[in-house]
Amino acid sequence: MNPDPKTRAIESYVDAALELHQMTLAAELRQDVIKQFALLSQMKATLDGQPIPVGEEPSNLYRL
Amino acid sequence: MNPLSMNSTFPFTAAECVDAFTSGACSAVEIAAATLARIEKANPALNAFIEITAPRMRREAESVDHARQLKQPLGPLAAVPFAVKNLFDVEGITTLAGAKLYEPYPPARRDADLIQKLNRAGGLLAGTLNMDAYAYGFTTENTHYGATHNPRDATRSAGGSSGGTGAAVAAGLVPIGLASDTNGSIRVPSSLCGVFGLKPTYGRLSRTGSQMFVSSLDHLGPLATTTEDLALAYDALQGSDPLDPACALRPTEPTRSMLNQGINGLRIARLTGYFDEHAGPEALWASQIAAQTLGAFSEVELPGVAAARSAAYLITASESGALYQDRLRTHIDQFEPLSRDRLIAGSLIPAAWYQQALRYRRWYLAQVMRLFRDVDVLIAPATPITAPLLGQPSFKLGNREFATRPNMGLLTQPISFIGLPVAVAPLWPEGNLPIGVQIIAPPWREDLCLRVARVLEQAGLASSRTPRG
Repeated sequence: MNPDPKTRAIESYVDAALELHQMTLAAELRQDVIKQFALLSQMKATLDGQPIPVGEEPSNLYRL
Repeated sequence: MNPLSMNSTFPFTAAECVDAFTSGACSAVEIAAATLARIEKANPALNAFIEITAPRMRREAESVDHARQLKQPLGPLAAVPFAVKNLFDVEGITTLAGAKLYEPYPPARRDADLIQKLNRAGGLLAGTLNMDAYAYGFTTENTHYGATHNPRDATRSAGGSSGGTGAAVAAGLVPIGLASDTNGSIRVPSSLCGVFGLKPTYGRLSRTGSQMFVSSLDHLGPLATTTEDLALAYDALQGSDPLDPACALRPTEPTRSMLNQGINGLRIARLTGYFDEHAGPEALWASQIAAQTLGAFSEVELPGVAAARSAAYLITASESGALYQDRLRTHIDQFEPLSRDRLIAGSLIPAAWYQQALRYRRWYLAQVMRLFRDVDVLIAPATPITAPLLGQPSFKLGNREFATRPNMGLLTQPISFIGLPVAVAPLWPEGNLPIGVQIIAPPWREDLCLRVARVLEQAGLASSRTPRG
């Protein structure tokens, strides 16, 4: 079964980034990394679902 | 005293050790011998200790005994045994951080700042403790050093990543243990092993001489069998450190003397919404019974908690991936198989994702601080479930299934994400397995966390049920 467009995009991104970072992985590990990156992508989508003001600066917890 | 004839009258908690030693009922050398005998007997079944520093502990005990003979001032932890997660530097020992990767590294040249502080207070170092490799995990299942077994049920996980610390304290091997908490690594083992734990405010305690994992989220703190011991340890650990750029320049704010002030006048609320939705029956019971015992009848929801957890996940993946990226390229075969895929994936995160997570953290902190105008302390479960079986791949909440290793921190991540101080108090639902509640306060109010934990302990609801002798 062919992967959906989102999965294909993640696979392409991971492969390109690995190449850029000069990392060569065994096939099984590459698949695991793709799964983990898909999970990170879901986390990003959850984050996108909670919009915050455009001008918000990154946190500085040192000022807690 | 023959340490092998230990019985229930032998000093056991940190406070008991201090009392017995200062009154002359026993020597530090005797306490050290009893501790080492306990460890020798129990550790093979637990795999909590990676290294037992027996010669050093005996030397430290002799030194403390000598100080007493000379009538020199004795520290607040005089003759109290303690042990540390093996990401703390211990002079003469390689700091492993649970990772085979670090085995070839040279031994540490000096102790971590917090170990120095406990030693100065009279503490006796018993050894270093097992953990998930790099502190990346919630179960202390370590391919190279073996899993740590939960003292309450050896077939179950002790939690992680500070599982060795949780198990050592819960089994009564040491009354105080040091650990780190990036996303829940003090609170998850405290919950699953059934001991008290404190994750102080981000920046409160020095991290000098500890192996970094996620700098902007890493905290250090103590686990203990009683709230009094927890406060004793925490007070000894305080003190600013200019060598740690995240350590705040604040004066020490002792808590032990305020431990019994009670909760009159405190506005305590139970967290619902996300926290109830990700709580199994025992976790929900713990949150509700704790709130009821405290007379906390108001309930509140934090805004955007799921996104906070996601942002914490992204920051963790990105910073840890960046930390290890070069070595992943050159030494991939040395990496823990259970987490190397996550480290690699994290190293590929676009900077814009990471920045968005940091921006969200600022916004979320502002929302939560607004909530603290009307509330002093928040209550929530520490883990979604009680201790899972070792090797258990997933757990269910209702009809939803969650992978175990990354999701035991579902309820802790949204809190440490913004650096709030949290104490964990262990409760005991029906059955033999404990589960913890998080007691959450505004920044720098560790005293409130400890006072509320103390009330739950005095009410008989929270206890470590640690075996004596």
